[in-house]
Amino acid sequence: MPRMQVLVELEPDAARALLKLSDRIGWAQLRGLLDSEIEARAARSALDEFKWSLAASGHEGAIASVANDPVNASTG
Amino acid sequence: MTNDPNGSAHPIRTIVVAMDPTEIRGLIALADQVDHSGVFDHLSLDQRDAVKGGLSKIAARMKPYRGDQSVKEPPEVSVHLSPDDLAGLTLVARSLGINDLAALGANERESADMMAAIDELKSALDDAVWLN
Repeated sequence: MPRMQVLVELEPDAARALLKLSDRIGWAQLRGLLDSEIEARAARSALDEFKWSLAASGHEGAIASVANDPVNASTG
Repeated sequence: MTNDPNGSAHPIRTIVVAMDPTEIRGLIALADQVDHSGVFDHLSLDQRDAVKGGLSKIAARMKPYRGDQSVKEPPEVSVHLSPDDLAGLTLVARSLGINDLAALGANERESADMMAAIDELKSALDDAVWLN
C-alpha cells in the first residue's frame, strides 16, 4: 500500500494536546466517531504514528507514553 | 567523533540496525530514563535531548517489529542520524557501563533489555556510513 509522508510544524501546546488525545481516546470512542472498523483502525494507526514520530524527535512526553505502551513495557 | 571526512557542512550518517523486540524495548526504556536518572546528570540539556532523540529515532524505525515475538531475525533497517543524534548516541554507547544500566532498569529484565540494545547500538555505530 502506498504511504504518505507528511511534515508538520506544531506549537508545543498543539503537540501536547494531540499526544494527550492519542493517549486518552479509546477504541470504542474512535469506533463511534468513524464510519467503519477499518477507518477506526486507520485512525488509531495514524495517532500511534504521530506519537512515535514525536518520540523520535526527543519529546519527553511522547517517549514516556511509548515507554508505557503495554506492547513495549517490560513485564516480568 | 562526528568529523566528516568529506567536509560536508551538514553531514548525515546512516547506521544500520537490526533489533529484536527486547532491544527495541531497551532503547525506549533508556530514552525514558534520560531525564529521570542521576546517571545522565553530567550531560547538558542539549546533549540529553540528542540522546533521547537518537534513541527514540532508532526505536521508531524498528517500530513494526516491536511487539512481534515471532520475528526471529528482524531485518536490517537504515537510520539517518544528524551530527547531534550521532554525538549523543556515541556518548551513551561508549560511556554507559553494566553497573549504570543495572541501576537504570526498573527490574532485571529491563536492565537486560537496555544492555542488549546498547550492544547492538555500539556495533551499528562502529559501522556507521557517511552520507552527504
